[in-house]
Amino acid sequence: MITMNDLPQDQLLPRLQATVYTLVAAALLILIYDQYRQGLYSLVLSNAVSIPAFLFSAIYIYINRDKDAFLWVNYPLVAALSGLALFQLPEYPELMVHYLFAVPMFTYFCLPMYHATLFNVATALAMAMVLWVHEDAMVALRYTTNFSLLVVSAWCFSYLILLKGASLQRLALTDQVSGAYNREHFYHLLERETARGEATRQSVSLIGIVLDDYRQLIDLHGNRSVLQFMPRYVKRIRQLIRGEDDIFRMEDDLIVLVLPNCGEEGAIVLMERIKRKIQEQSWRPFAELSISVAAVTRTSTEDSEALEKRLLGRLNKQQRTSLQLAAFSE
Amino acid sequence: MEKAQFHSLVVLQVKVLYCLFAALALSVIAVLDLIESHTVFAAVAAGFALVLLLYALMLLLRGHQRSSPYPEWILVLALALFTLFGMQQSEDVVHWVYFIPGFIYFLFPFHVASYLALIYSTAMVLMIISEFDSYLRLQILFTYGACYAFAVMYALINERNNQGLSAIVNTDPVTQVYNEYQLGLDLTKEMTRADRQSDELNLVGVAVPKEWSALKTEEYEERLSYLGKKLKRCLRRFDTCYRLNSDRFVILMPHSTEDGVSVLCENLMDDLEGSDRYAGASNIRIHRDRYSPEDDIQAIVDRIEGALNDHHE
Repeated sequence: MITMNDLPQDQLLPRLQATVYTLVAAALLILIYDQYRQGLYSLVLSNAVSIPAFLFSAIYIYINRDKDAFLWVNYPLVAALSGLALFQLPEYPELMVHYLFAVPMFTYFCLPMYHATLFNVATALAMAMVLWVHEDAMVALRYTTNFSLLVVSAWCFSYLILLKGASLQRLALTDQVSGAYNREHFYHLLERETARGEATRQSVSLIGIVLDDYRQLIDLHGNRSVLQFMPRYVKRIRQLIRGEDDIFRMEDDLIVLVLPNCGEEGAIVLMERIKRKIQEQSWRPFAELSISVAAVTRTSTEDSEALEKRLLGRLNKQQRTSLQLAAFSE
Repeated sequence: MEKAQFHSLVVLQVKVLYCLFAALALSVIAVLDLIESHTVFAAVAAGFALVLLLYALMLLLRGHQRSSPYPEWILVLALALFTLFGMQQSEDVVHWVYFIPGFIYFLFPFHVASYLALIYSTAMVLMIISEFDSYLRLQILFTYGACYAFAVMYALINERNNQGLSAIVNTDPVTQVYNEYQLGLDLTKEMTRADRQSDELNLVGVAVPKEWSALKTEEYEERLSYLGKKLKRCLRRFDTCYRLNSDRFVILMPHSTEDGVSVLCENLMDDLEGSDRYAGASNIRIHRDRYSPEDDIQAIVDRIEGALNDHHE
């Protein structure tokens, strides 16, 4: 059984969002009861709209937790909640100001940073205008200043956390999902191997492996299945190469192997072997797995950039040919 | 500019800007309090604004130097006390309680923050129940609860993200050379290649001058970063440099000869002696080593560390 502790970060987020939204909906129920007792019926009505909005979002996010497309539901949710609070602000300024103060933390938690900032600026302006018109300038200035401070605090937390994550990412050499080396390390290593090849007159070859229909696999089986498959896939490829070869995950669906001291013939033999072995194996839950492969060997005048470019060009050509063959066979 | 330096500079700029903005906002609040004749609150807000302004100036004057976390902890403590005691005097003070969970989770490690936030929340809930009427009470608790929940979730995701990333970071952030874990991975490959091609694999161990170990962390790391840069400059295009957990450096030199190693060592010493940036930088200790087929990784690392220790004694 997979627990919360085993989940990677991008799978943890939707689960946490669904949990928090459900909890907020439960807290709103208690708030509604209290407001009903006090006879604040229009507030009861607006909160009664918020509860299904939270519950719907929680259920939608939970159902789509393994797909990328769940995030959009947060936009109508934050817009609806802020809209309701701003709508009630002239009648219940004291209560609704408190309600609005939850918006900055909420938006930075569930929206991308730039969108959350824009949304908060718009909310602050709307809040200032409503309070100015219905209360007085002093109240508007005080509450908007407090709100802005909260927005700036949340922005700073969010920005510094993002910055820390990005810095760590830059220092990382390994792809978090598959355990292969990442793109950043590829360029360093290829540069090094090219220089070494030049100095020692040894050849360097690359093999590119593209997982065909990667997006389709995610749509059919969900993100989680594909993320669980990647380490197995990389491990299998690693078993087929020599100890001195390196394996890199360059893009979601693209794996590149760097083969030092390996000539063109050796690279082609290895490439065909990898293709056969990978396609022969059963990869549950996928019915079948199709890959496109290409190999290139460095020529004496070629630098690492040109070598990579040639590999990608050959892979594209290979994929186009496969598509044409598939079309003909149908 | 090195990536790590750039990162700390951006953090510094964000902190300074935040302090200045908060000081400005608090000055506005102080003026409003003064107009409304809440002299005590105006004084408190102005005091906070002044402290933040001074802190921002201090950060700017200290420049690149690592700032201590204590001023931020003191500010959060002061804010927590202000909200707990201030809400008895004025209802507006309660707005500031929404800042506390975020601040706590941002400034302290997750487990410590959880305890602190729990203690503060208990005190805060009791205060709200005793000080506010039923009209506002539940609304304040609801907003506080929501802010608290979002702060916890945000911190949890951040914590998990950092844990995951730390496990795959194989580059040393101070010197930007690879770390000991990566040495293990690379050395395995190089040993296989050296065996297969019957080629020489040389290693050079470098220990920092012993006087450096008495320095403050900040100054010590500056010198380590400087030495890391000098080492990288002397490498051939296919040599690699690593920082061990013991702060010694190891250079891996595949396809090299004794002469190649001597050239590297001479270049390094010339470079260090020619630079007057840090006195005594040329007092580094160097040990040359060569891989032989019966060696394993740990044996090589132990041999290099042992030899550098002998130099030290």
